[in-house]
Amino acid sequence: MKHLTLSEIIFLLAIWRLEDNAYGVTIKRQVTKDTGKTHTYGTLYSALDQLFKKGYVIKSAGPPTPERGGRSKIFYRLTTEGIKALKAARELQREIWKGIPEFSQDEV
Amino acid sequence: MIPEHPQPSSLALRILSRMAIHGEEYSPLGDLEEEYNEMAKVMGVDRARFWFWIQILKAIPAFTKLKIYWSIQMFKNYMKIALRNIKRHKGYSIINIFGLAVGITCCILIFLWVQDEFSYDKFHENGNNLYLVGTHQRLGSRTATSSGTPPALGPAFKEEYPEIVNSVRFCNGPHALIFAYGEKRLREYVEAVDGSLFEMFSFPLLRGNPKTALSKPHSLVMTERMAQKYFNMEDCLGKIIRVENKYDFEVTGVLKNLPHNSFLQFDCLVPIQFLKEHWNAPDHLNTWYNFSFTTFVQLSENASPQEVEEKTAGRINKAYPDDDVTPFLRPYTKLYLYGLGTGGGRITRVRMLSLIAVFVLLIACINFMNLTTARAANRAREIGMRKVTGALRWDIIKQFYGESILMAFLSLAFAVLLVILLLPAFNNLTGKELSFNPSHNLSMILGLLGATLLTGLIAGSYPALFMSSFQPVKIMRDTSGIGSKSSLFRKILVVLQFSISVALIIQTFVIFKQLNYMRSRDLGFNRDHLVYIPVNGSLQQHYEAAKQELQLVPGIAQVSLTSRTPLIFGSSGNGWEWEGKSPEIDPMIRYFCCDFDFVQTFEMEMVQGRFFSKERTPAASPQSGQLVINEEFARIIGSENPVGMRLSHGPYHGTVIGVINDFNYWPLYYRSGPLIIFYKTYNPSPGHHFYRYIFARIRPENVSQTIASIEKIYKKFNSEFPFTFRFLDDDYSRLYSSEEQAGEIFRYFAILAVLISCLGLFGLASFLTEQRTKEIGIRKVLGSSVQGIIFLLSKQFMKWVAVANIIALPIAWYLSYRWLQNYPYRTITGVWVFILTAALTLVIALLTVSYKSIKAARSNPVDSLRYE
Repeated sequence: MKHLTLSEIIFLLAIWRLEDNAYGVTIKRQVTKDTGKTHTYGTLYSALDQLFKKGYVIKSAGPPTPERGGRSKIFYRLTTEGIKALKAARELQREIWKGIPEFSQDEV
Repeated sequence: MIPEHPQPSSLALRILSRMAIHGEEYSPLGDLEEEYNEMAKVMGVDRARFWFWIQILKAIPAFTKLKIYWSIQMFKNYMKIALRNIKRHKGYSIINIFGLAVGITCCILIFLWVQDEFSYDKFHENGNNLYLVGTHQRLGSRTATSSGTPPALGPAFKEEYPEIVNSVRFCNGPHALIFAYGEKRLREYVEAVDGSLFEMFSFPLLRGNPKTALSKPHSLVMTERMAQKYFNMEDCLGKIIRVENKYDFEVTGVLKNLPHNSFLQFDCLVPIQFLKEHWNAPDHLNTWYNFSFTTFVQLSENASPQEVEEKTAGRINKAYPDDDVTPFLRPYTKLYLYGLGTGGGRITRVRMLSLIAVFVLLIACINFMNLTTARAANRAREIGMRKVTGALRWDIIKQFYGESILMAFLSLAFAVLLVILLLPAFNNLTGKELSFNPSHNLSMILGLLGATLLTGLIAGSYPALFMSSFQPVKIMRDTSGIGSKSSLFRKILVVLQFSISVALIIQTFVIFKQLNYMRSRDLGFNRDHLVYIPVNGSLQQHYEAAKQELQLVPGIAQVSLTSRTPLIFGSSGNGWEWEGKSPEIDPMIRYFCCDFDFVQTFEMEMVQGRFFSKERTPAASPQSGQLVINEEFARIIGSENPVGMRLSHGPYHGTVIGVINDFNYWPLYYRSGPLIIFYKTYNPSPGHHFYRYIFARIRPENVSQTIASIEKIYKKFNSEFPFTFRFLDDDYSRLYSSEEQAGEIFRYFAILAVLISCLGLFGLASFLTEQRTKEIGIRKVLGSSVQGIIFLLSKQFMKWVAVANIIALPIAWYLSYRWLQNYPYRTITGVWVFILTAALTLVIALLTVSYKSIKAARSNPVDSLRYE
């Protein structure tokens, strides 16, 4: 299996954290909160699209809401594939950081 | 007051939904609007709007990427479907692609040819300022236009008119002379010119100084090719070469080989001053009355040729008031294609061929469109399916346009391949050295790409624009009515296509008929078994003895000395006076000189009086002589019995002793007008003769033996020159090579046009027959006979071809009539040409469609009715 990229990890974790409430607006906010970087919906959706194509997430439409101009929310949820990939990523992170001490201030 | 759900700007929303793939836009749009609403509540509508716009701008790159991705996916799908369609209907696809490819190939080949024709004389630096000086000569009510000018004109023009910065003269006359160096003895084409040639025309010298190369009377400038032949490219400057075994010339320059696309062609040049010695007439180059020189002038950069023409209009008459001659200027670069501007010229053929190219391409395109439209009907279900699964009309339009353009470009690729394969054969046919090099023909490539694209677009228009508008429900339910809607359009196309083919066939027939006419026309003399040899070298002193010996050869029936052959232009003059001559007319009379045996040798007849004879014709003198005129001249004189009339020309008085039958003393392109035949010479100096050829009528038996005897006699009197002989009828057969070539080319294109039309008809017939499979099945079940069905199926096609004939015949008649007007001696088109063409096209069309009709008619109705 291919390794997840860092941004994939970020998005997947955001969706995981949001549990049942993961749709465009919330995912975007969550990612901003986690990383401090803002995404546009363009990049957000192309990233989500990639995750969907790779089978890490599934999409489902919710009921239409008035504040969205009568449009449905598209909810994202992790698949078991996605969870496996996250776990593998965490293992990998641990492996590759093994034996490297905390950086001290003046080393940066 | 903020409304409960303030709307973001609708323009912004529209932009966003345009960018997104349809169906996908809901989620991001909803997200944005949700955030927008929250912001509007917290920070106000204006801030929220601003933020919304920013979001859209930021989203553009990502959405664009997405859009491109999906376009590529769809494009792949379209390509796959297109290729599958081509594969599934191999027959149609081959007919379609091949037909168009042949059309494009024709077009490319002709374009290359036309381009070469137009490339003539474009390489001269001063090209745009170079003009030929021609002359209009008023002869009574008629004007004769020629390129002949008197020798004094060139220098005078240069001196007297500031606009004319330079001039060069060429002497018209016998040009092919024998050159000898060492063992080599060959005939070369020589021109006598002024040295200013090199200043005016861009004919660069490889060796020698262009300023002085032609300054001495016996200097010679030769082309690289000739230098190679005689001197093997060793340094040839200063070498002496012998001409006509009489003059020694010193090589003073080597010319770069003349480009093939130069109007002026020669092997070598000698100074015009040499002619003084050659003619033994020191003043001859200063005369204003001998119109046998060609003069070119160079105008200054900003001179207007019209003004110069006006200024010089009376110049010749001033110096030579006897005639009414007006000079005119003709751009040098136009000479090759347009001639002297009196009509005709190569441009007619260029135009004709270009027209054919356009027609053949048109026929091929029509085919392509016809088949594409016909076949599109089969794809109605596919369109319905695509629409049901969500394709927009625009998607269908794109798909069908794309498909027909793809087919068109496949044809183009195929055509390029064909051009490369056929070019050697085409060069053979046209006698040119064309090459297909796309990088040199950028404009052509662009034009072709454009034309291909256009064909693809037009062909794709019917399915793309018309069929894409169908309601899926209707298409899925019933497809039978779809093909028939375009049938009128299709009929018109087939009729148009066959009309063009019919016109081309008729034109081909007419060309061959005219050719045949010119070849077999009674010329007024018997051209068969006439052999001639040139009177040159020392033969010029011993022609009488040679003639006597020739007469003794058993294979020779008659021998005659003449001034020229019936195919070579001779001298002419006007200003002849006779009793009762109307002052209105002053015809240009051709001159011909011969000895007593001319009439017998050429097997002609005297209409009135007698011909020259040994007993009754005295030697010519400057003051008087005997003359024979032709019937045409007798008609101009208008006397019942011109024999015994006196014709005078200046101090000279001639007595008409006979009238000879009109014979064609020129190629049949020209009308053979009035003629005077002189005995021996028309030059009044005593002892002079104008014999340039010995004609011998040989007996048809043992020709090679006779020729060997002639050679022996020739060698005996002229050992210095190589022996050359010609059969007059050979000359004639070579003469009409330009018509032959045109005929050949027309024949090929007519065949091609018919072939392509038939391909189209075949494709269409098989398609339409297939559509009627069930109808045929039912008809057979109900008792229709095989013949009846064949008739039914072929009838409509025959009708179209018949209509095409009705349309094309009058047009073709008019075109061939116009073409024949170019010839003074012409055939008539004849009704049978039209009948034959009509019958031919009908039979060919019938054969084409009958294959499919017979197959359909003979099929078992069970097979056709099984599927429902």
